[in-house]
Amino acid sequence: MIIRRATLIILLAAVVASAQVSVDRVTKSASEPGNWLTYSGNYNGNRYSTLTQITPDNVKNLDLQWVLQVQQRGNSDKWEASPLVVDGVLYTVRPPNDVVAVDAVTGRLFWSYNHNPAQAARVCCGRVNRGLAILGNTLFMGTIDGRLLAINARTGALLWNVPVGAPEAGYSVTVAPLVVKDKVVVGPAGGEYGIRGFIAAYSPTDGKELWRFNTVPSPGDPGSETWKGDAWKTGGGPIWTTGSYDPDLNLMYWGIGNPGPDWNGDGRPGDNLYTDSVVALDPDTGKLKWHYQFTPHDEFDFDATQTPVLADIAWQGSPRKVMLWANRNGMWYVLDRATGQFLSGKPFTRVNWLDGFEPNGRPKKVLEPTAEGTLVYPNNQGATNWYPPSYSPRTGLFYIPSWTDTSSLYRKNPGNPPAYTEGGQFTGIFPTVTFGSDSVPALAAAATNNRFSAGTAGAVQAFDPKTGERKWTFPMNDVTDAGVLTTSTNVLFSGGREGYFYALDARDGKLLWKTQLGGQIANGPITYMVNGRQYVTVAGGNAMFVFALKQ
Amino acid sequence: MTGEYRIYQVITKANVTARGTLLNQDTFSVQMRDNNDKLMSFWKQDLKEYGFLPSPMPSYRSVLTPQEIADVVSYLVSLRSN
Repeated sequence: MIIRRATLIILLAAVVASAQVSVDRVTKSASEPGNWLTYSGNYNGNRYSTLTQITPDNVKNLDLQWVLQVQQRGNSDKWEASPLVVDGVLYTVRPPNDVVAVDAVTGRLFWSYNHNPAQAARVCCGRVNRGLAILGNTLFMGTIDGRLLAINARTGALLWNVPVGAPEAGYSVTVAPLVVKDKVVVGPAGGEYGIRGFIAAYSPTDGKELWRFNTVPSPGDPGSETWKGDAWKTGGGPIWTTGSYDPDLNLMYWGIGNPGPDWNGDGRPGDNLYTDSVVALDPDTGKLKWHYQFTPHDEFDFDATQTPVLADIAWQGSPRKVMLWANRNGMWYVLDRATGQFLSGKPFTRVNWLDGFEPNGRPKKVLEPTAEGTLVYPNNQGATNWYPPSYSPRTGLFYIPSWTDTSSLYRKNPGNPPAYTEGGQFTGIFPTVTFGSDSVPALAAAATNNRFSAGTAGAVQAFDPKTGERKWTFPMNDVTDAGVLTTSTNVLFSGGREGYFYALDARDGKLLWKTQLGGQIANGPITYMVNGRQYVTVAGGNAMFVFALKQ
Repeated sequence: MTGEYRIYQVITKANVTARGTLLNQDTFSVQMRDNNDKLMSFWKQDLKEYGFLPSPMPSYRSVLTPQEIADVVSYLVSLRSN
């Protein structure tokens, strides 16, 4: 008995000791491939792992190890969280805001913390959460009722709970926080409720707000000239996808969502900075260093809420620190991430809303909503969205989960923008999703699919950022909300709305392995290693599935 | 015309043909109900051909003018109950 108790103490001590995640460990997370310490696995946002056990030759031997189910009855919200793994413990969020710590080998529960969102919570597009951040022994989670929580990673006890934005006014937090140095950074979603967005840093010890960058500037501040009247007060600019960070440049990058109202910009003339933009911020102060706006004066809901992917490549023969960005507006970009200089912008699907770029990278917009309706490619859900892409330094390819050949019909009452009411939807006329003669359910998973084959589909596409060339396409029958994971052994994992979780050869897109999870995949896969064994995990439907090679 | 009103046909690599209604399809497989109401499922990799057959209804494209077709459609729509 004494021996058992001693063993137990030693085991617990091992878990407790290993749960410490220092700033240094987070900063160097790419050098710990056995763990997954941030939303994207590292600060580069490339969702790329250097684990080597699973290869193109043996991936067919993957075997299901364990499954984690949603516990809330009747919950049908998408499981969008990307887990963290720290020294054998996996942390994730079951929708909407239930945090769990489980043994990463067996799936058995250490603890759970269930946050019950306030009744005032309102979200446009599902009661979802995209994951956690960790620093020291503390986990951080945003909630759909607009709060930021700190939870003890050892015990699951709540440490603090602070407001980020008022839920009754449409503020929610669905993004996985980003820890940079001694700060926890998040921003609110709510672009369909007329919020005024921001990115804010909080103290990890007590949740005190340390700085705030308004994604819609105040009158007199730089960028305010792109707004007229009081439109800035309800200008949108939400945050709902985690940013990236370059420690060498000490720059943090965040993508910003749509202006409000979404589909009628007549009440907000101007470019409406910094909506639909990427901003580079000093993480110590929140000061803006540069910005690039992908879609000025957006009336198509083309949020720039995608993961900024940082890559060091040879650009026109010279080494360059770039940012790769696959945008909801159907274009993928190469930017200089030190300066924000526009280097390249190319379509990855059918696009008709612009006709090239000015020399400074400003798109030449050619379409706007009209009373009779304007057909715009890509569709309102976008050619891609928040689900993460991947970049493999091994192949040098940028992998984009995408919707191909989709369109929406945008209508507005010219000169009559919608009126704002606190907490009410502030959007304009919802676009008609039109895919030829077909219709594809915009957000819900399709139970069955007997549509015609009209070219509308999902795909993983691989591009060479150095040349802009499309290297290969893996087509899917249905559209996809699944992210992409790549490894240094040239294995690519992804999935889709159909519920398949599959592995491709990252070099040529050939199918290597697949399995059916029985529910749509709406998150990015991750991989980790415990006791010398590599695991790969993804959530499908209302459960999370973990695979490893057969032993 | 929605899929349930069209004839779907698969031909396996063993030259077995099945026709009926397409119920579901995805990247790798097809589910259908054949003309005897038998539920069938196929891997696409096992099929030589799959897809909708042309509609058995004769085309009116060369029989009616576009305006006449629009008139017929308008009349049929007017038959809907409110």
